[in-house]
Amino acid sequence: MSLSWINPLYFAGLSLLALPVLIHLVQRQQTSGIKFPSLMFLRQIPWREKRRLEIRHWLLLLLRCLLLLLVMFAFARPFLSSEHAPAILDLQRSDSVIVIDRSYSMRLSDSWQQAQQIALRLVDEKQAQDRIGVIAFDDEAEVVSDLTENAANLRTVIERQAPGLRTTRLRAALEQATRLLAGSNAQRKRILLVSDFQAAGIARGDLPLVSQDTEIVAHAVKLADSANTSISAVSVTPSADGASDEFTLAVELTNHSAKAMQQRLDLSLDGRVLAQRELNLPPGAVVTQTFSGLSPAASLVRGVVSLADDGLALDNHAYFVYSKQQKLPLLIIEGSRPRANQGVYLESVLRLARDPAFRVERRSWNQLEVTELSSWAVIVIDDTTIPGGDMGTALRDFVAAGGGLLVTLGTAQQDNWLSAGDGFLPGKPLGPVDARSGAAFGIRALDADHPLAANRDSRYASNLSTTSIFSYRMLQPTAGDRVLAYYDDDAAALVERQLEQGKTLVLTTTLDPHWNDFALQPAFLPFLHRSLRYLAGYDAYRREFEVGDIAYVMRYARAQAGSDAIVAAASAAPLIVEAPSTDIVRLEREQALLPIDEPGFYQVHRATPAEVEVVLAANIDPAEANPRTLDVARFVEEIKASARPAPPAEILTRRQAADYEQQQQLWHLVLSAALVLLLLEALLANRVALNRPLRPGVKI
Amino acid sequence: MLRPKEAQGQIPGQRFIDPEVLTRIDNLELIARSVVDGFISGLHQSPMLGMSVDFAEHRSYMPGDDVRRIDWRVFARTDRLYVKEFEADTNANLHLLLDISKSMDFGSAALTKLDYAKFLAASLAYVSKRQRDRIGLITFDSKIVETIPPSIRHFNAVLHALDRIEAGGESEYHGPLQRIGESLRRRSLVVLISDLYAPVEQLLPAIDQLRHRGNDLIVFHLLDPLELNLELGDVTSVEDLESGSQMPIAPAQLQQEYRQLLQAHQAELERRLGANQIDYIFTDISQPLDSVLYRYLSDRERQTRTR
Repeated sequence: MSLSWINPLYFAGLSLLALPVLIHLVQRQQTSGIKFPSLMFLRQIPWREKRRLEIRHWLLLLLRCLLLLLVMFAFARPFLSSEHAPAILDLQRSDSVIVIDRSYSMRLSDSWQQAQQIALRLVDEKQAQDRIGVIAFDDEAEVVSDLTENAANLRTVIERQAPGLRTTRLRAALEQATRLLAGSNAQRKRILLVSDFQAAGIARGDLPLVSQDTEIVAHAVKLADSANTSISAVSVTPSADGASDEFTLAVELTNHSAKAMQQRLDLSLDGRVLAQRELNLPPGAVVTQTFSGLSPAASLVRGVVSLADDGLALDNHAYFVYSKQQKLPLLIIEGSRPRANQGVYLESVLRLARDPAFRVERRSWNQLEVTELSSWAVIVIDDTTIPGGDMGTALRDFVAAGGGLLVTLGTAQQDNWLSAGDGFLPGKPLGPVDARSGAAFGIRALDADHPLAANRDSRYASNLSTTSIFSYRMLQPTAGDRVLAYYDDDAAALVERQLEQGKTLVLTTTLDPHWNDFALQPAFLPFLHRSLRYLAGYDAYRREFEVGDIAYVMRYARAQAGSDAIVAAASAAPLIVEAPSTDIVRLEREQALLPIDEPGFYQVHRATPAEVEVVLAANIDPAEANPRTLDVARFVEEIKASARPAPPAEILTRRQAADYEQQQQLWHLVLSAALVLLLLEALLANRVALNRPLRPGVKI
Repeated sequence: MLRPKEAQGQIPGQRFIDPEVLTRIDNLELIARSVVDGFISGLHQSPMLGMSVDFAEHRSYMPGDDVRRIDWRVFARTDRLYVKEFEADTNANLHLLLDISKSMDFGSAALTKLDYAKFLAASLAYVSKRQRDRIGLITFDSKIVETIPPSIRHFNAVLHALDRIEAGGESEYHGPLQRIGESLRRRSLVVLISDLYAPVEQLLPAIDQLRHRGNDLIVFHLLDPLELNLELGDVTSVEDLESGSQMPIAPAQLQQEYRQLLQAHQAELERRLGANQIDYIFTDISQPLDSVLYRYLSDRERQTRTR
């Protein structure tokens, strides 16, 4: 429940409060002298200066100020409103929201000019009391004007808009318009949707939720048959054997027009044109062109494939980045006397990894120097003892600095676990547990909320249950540990602990078939790939973006470097981002989110030295080039069908509104109080006046 | 000895007349009678009765009669108490001297000082008439304005004169009082009614001139409550009623010193006049007139008895 005002403008009258103060001062000033029988005694008193500007009758002044305050308070029409207070229906007015599409596709031909003209016409047609709001949208919906009756302002706002480079998302726009109209008390509410209604603007079944009391009127711009071809996809594939740095480029071209197009396709790497092809594209055709045997001159290559300009110019260019095989350095630590075939399965799986590939080394603790640990992104301790002493401390520092650690428990005794743990190892390993009489344990599904499981391709996670575990080592989780998977008997199978920037995963059984058949299961490979990527912080490393995306630059710096040394340097100094239009963006560590606003290459480097760390390629969403449109009438019908009912109790008729207002009679009370004060003021003023001395000779 | 209530200026069972009531009566004689008759019966004896020597008759002693007037010889013969009644004589002159200067024309309530002085003079004249004294009136400001010589038949003339009085000019005491003093041929009871706005050093010699020939002198000092308290509220300047000169004031700051000066003036007058055997009666004109008169007359009666 809160206090609101119907006419808050009356509070401007608060300046009138100066009036009584002024009157009290002036009255004091103007009080004339009176006649007195004799000044004989007064003349004998020595004259002393006295401050004349002195307010007398404070109580009276206070009363008068309070009186004015209450009158203004009453005129401002206070009323108690609650969140659930019903809106008062205004039968005279209609509120509309013009939702205007400013996505990239609106640049085609005169689409944007048409859209602007439609919007301006809608503003011109409105009645004086009608209100209109304006939302400009692409993949985001921006309220560029709240509901207003001011047509001139609306025209200015509409004329100021321009089509952008982003993709179309009709749902966001319509839901934003619904929110804008939610506060309206008009009887008629409309969403006036001005768009080219690209089919790509809305996913199937992803209908916006609008209110049933809101009318949706679609104004589609007429698309001229403008010739447009676009590059709809680019795919870079490294050589299959992994031995050379060569790669293959596949480019998918689409002719969106209804006539055959002659086009020339250019490929350039680092600004050097490598290939040109003349193409004949039939109407509506999708053609794939492949460039194989491409060899990068440097470790990082910026590539562009281009078509000649046509109706929509920017979708004729596709930017991509290729870097020579980024191999994440991974260290496997085995015991000094490993079992036969202990690391075979693990290494086989790692060899098959592509994105990223792993550079694998196998060592035992005694072959390792303390200072070497930071050279690896991930360390796998495969059923061997956790070291103590300096190596234990170095291992902890490695994790704290962002390194990933995978520990498998098996026959090896973990005597240093507690002493060396110091927070980077979860729980407390106890003795081995064996399955009885041949009935093996299973592993229950992974924690669905964890990044390892929360993946579109998470089917492998459920397949963990097919694994047969014959033995495992009991691990008692402690505070701060997260158990990601359990055995059938509720013992922890996979436990995670995070320490500062790094993570440790502990699998309480072996990775080779000594204690289980996990290595023989289909889930083994995806599980290991994803676990190691997760530990290396590699999972979000993307190089290609679409305009409108937001890139988390710090993660790329970390992932591409593959070394915590770079992380430390990057965290100490801000990152400098050069946008395609050569704008320089400075990103602090805490704000390493980079909005991708234009197509081209974004180059990320540290302030000093100014060497490029990461290059990101940004492209227009290829879907924007597709002129296929929705069946507008059907689209509107579908939205209406799925609309939410407007809560009927919250809208009142005029009579109910009058009754409702009757209930909001707070101002009556205030005015009554003001009248009582007025009476008091009169009495007090009268009393004050009576106390004044009479003029000599005047008789009552 | 006065009873406690009398000492407080109240007669048992008597309510004094509010000065405001008097303003509604436009007949001065009626005013005087209302004022005087109300309390005079409560007095043992008219305090202003002269002592005549012409025996008139005996009458039975009534409780309250002066025991000194019992004729003991008759008592011895008849064993009854008789009081000697004497033929009243026009044995005294009453001179009412009324200050009608402009400063007297001031009043913060129903009455101005001049009104009050008129009523007071009329009441005193009435008391004197009852005991057959000669009554005269002299009004003055800086000069003598009107003179009615004392006569037993001049009561009405005095009242008419009082009725006609209007406030005059500036007040001055020495000149007029000197001339009045010189004009008094017989030993008289002289009543001066004024607000006495003059330094004590100037007032005393002037008043003292009225005392030769053994005149009995009574001074009524009239002041309005506003003059007493200087409660002028937010008034920022005052103008002298008589001279018209103005001066800025801050009443709140001046009040205390003003009161001290006024009280010192009163005290000095009372002390110095008392030392000269002159009765000084300070009168707040917001007080009922009959109360003032009663208080004064009963006091005077007491003094007469003890003399």
